[in-house]
Amino acid sequence: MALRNTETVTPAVAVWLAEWRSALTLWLEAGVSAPGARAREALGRLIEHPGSTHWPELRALGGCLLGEADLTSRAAALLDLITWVETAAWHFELARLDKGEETGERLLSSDYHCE
Amino acid sequence: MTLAELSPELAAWLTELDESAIIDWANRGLLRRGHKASDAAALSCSSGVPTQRLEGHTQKLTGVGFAQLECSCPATGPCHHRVALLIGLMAVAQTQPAAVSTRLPEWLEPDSERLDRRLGPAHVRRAQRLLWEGIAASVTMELNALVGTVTLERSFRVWVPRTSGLAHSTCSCGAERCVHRAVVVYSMRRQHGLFDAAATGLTLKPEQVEAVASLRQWLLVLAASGRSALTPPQIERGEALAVAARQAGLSLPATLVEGLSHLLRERAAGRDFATGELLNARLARTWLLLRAIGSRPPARPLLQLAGSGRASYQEVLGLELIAAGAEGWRTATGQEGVTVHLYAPVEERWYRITSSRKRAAAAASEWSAESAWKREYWVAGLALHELPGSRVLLERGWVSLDGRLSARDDTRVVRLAQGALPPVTRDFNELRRRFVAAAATEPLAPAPRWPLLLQIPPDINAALVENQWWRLPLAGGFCAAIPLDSAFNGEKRRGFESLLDSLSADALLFGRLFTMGGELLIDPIGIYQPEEGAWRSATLKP
Repeated sequence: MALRNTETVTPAVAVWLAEWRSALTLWLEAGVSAPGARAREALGRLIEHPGSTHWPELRALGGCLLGEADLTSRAAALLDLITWVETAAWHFELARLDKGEETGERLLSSDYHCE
Repeated sequence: MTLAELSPELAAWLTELDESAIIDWANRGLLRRGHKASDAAALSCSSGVPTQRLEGHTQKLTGVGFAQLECSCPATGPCHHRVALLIGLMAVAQTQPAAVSTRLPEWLEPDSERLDRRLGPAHVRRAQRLLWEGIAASVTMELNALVGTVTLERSFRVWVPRTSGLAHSTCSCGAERCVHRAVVVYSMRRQHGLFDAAATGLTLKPEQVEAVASLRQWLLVLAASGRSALTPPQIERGEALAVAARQAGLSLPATLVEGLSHLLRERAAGRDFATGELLNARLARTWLLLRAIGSRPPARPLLQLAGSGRASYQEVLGLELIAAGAEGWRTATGQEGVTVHLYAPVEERWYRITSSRKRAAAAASEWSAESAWKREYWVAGLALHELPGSRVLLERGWVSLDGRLSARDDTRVVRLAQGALPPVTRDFNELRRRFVAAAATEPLAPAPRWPLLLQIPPDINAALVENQWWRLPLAGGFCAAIPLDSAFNGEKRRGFESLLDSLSADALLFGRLFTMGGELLIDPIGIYQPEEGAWRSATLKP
């Protein structure tokens, strides 16, 4: 629940993270056993999003969800993916507090690593 | 007499002996009486045995160590006569000290086999597990001895003389061999690279392994079947697993899973606050924590990951505290409580005293935060509502890793003079920098919420309501903010606004700093009115 309209602060990353969060909320609602077409489509689009290309582990986890792995592996991948995105969002929020608006673009570049 | 009349071993022991070791063996009272009596004692030495006559009794020290002390008085254990003999001999040793051995002290011997036999293998195993779990001992190698303090449920002081070693060591627990000695010795070995807790091959206890596996499995079921398909029994299973995790000493994972279960139930009931975003954030933290605990070795010391269970409270002695504001609170996950915030000026750290209940249990027992505020005591004679504005000395108490003060029966608090205030924040850039640095170091921890005190500007603007948040602009670009997401927070807003209506000059705002949406905000707790010297709470009646 952001207090400000995030688009006026750091457009690219804020929107990208918000889209990941929405997509993963859809997946968690329905579960990996039957995610539904909307959830699959949203995830597929985000894996190909330019902002995601710098993060191979993110794309690999997304690929696992969409692939043929067994149910437990896909459930673990969803939890890992949620954890990845939430941790990235927390670091992003701190970076914005610390550095201001330009941080958004820096987060998208490959020299900024979320641990 | 001179030390030269004694055996080299006894002379070395007397040179290394200190009064703290005598207190650990006898007690402080006997040391005091021994000091008074020692002036009247006549000290001599015969065949290498120091002897003394005092108050009609004869004392001897027939060898190295407290166990070799003899006295003709009726006492079977330590007495002030024996203590007086030691004090007299220590005085001799101070004027003509024996040469202290230059060989490696036994606690630093590379091969630990003999050392472990002296410490006791069972004590060594327990000490190694404690160190692996993250227990910290304070140890120093003094010229003549290894000295350390270990805090388990109480603090214990260990003294190991350099030359005569563990055989003649003392611990304030009174036992001849104990886990405290082993913790101190192994802490010192770790400092010298002779012990690596991570290399011991120790793992979680079986009940902890089972608890972590069960909680992980529960989360996997949630991810597999989906939140919307989760049945009430499946949600209840999470709560049952949380109880088992708590019993296994994993209180932080237990608390997180209880919160998740509650959130799932509220979301199933269509409550507004229980959003998918909130669920994801809680889920992420729980999953990450379980992975960190389950990794070998754990990603952090286990005590840090397992949370503040009763066993992880540490004893503190002589902690000065300034009690500031108090607040009543409710969480979205069903807990209700009252908290008094206290500042330790020497440590520059905030502590808190909290009394809380599950809301359902509170309603059944007619308990409320307001009633606790009015009627409960931290310790006898010190009611919670009397604390704000007080300066107290916690002579003896217990504190959790995250700053909660316990109210155990042995807690001793003395009220000092009134009038002190915690520091007022004036440098907002520095505050921002410190907050970000602290939050970035520990992604597993809950987002920091720092108590702080700051000046309310005289030309304060009107508050705004925006996106379901009440916001009041303050100095330095900071805002006081309250989410209007519950009846409780609505009441809190009205309570705070009524405090603002009657502000005196130079009033201070007391609140907690937190971050939301890339902005630093202050959750207002109350105000401080300097003219009256009074703390007013937004959520608790005076």
